[in-house]
Amino acid sequence: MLAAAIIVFREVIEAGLIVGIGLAVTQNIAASRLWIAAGVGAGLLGSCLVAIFTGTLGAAFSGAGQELFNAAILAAAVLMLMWHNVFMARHGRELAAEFKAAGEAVTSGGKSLFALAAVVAVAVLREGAEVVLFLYGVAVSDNSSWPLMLMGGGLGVLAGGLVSGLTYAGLLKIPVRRLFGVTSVLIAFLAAGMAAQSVAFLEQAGLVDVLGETIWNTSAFIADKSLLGRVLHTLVGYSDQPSLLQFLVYLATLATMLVLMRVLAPKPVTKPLVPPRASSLGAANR
Amino acid sequence: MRTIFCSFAGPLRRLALVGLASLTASAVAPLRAEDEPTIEISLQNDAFTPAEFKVPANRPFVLKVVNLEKSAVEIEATELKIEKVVAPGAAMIARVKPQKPGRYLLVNEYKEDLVKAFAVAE
Repeated sequence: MLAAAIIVFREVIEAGLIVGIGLAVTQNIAASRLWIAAGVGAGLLGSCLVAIFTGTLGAAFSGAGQELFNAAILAAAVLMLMWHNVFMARHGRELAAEFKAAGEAVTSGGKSLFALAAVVAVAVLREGAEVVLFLYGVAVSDNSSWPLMLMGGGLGVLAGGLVSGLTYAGLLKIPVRRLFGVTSVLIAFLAAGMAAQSVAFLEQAGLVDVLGETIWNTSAFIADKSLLGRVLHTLVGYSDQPSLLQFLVYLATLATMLVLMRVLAPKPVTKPLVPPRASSLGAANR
Repeated sequence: MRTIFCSFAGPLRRLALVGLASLTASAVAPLRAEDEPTIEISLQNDAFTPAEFKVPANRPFVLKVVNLEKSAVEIEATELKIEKVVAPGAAMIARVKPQKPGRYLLVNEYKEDLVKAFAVAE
């Protein structure tokens, strides 16, 4: 039972973290919980579909269907995160500051919500399919301990939910003014990690064959499979044996995200309580 | 100055061209299994057959795993960068990059303590 719980938990931890981050990022936007919940629901539904069609998917593209599918949905998630961060950089301050009043902001917030809900759906979909297949395999096995193992699986899923809750609660501890900045950086790293993972799938599929040498091996210290490895993998894109290409794509994505945020961020709206000194105001206006 | 610039640009451009060419080449032929040896193993009743098999060291090869179990399995070999779900009755094919001589663990991740095999590269 414990083994089943651990296997399932290891799979859901990534989705758990991302759901928690999604909830925290959108906490000020109306109906955001519904959107995130819809993302989780769509992800679960997708998981079952992927699980059912595992054979078809695996056989597609001369056996590389699974990898190409994973690479594609990860790439889509990266674009969604990029779009979300750009949107938030432009409108985030208004959203955070005068949310309840601004009806327009709520509707435009909806677009960003869609992006985040889609990312949540992708996260749930990717690991969910494996959980579904694992639990299905347990249920049809001749092993008499299957009820216990299913219970263990259920516990693993619950633990994943707990991760979401803890992530959410932890991020809420950050004052609202700074939360925006923190989550933007967090999302930039998330996206970079997903982009690198997408490359890893393309490499596995044999579709990309350049700069493939492994540049470090830290599996003895933090293995990808360990819980810490999983958490770091999700949050900052840690990999214990990345290829050079993965590393370069990681850096490029991170740089793109950070530069886009910088460039597109509006000048902070100055509503100072105390008028600034004349000299600095003059300099800023000129 | 000019010569320095040229000596820089030449290799760089060549590298870019080679990169582009190999990208397109690999995109056209995703699985070039013909010129690489294929090693085939199977999985049934929670055991790999054979449980230990030889693979060539220092050159790419293709690993094929046939899943004869009643349920899906997830074949995983972290060092070989294989992580793939295989439907019951289906097979998976993985291209493996050149590996140093050594023993590499392969598991059904759903039962990783129980269902193991070793790929011995030599």
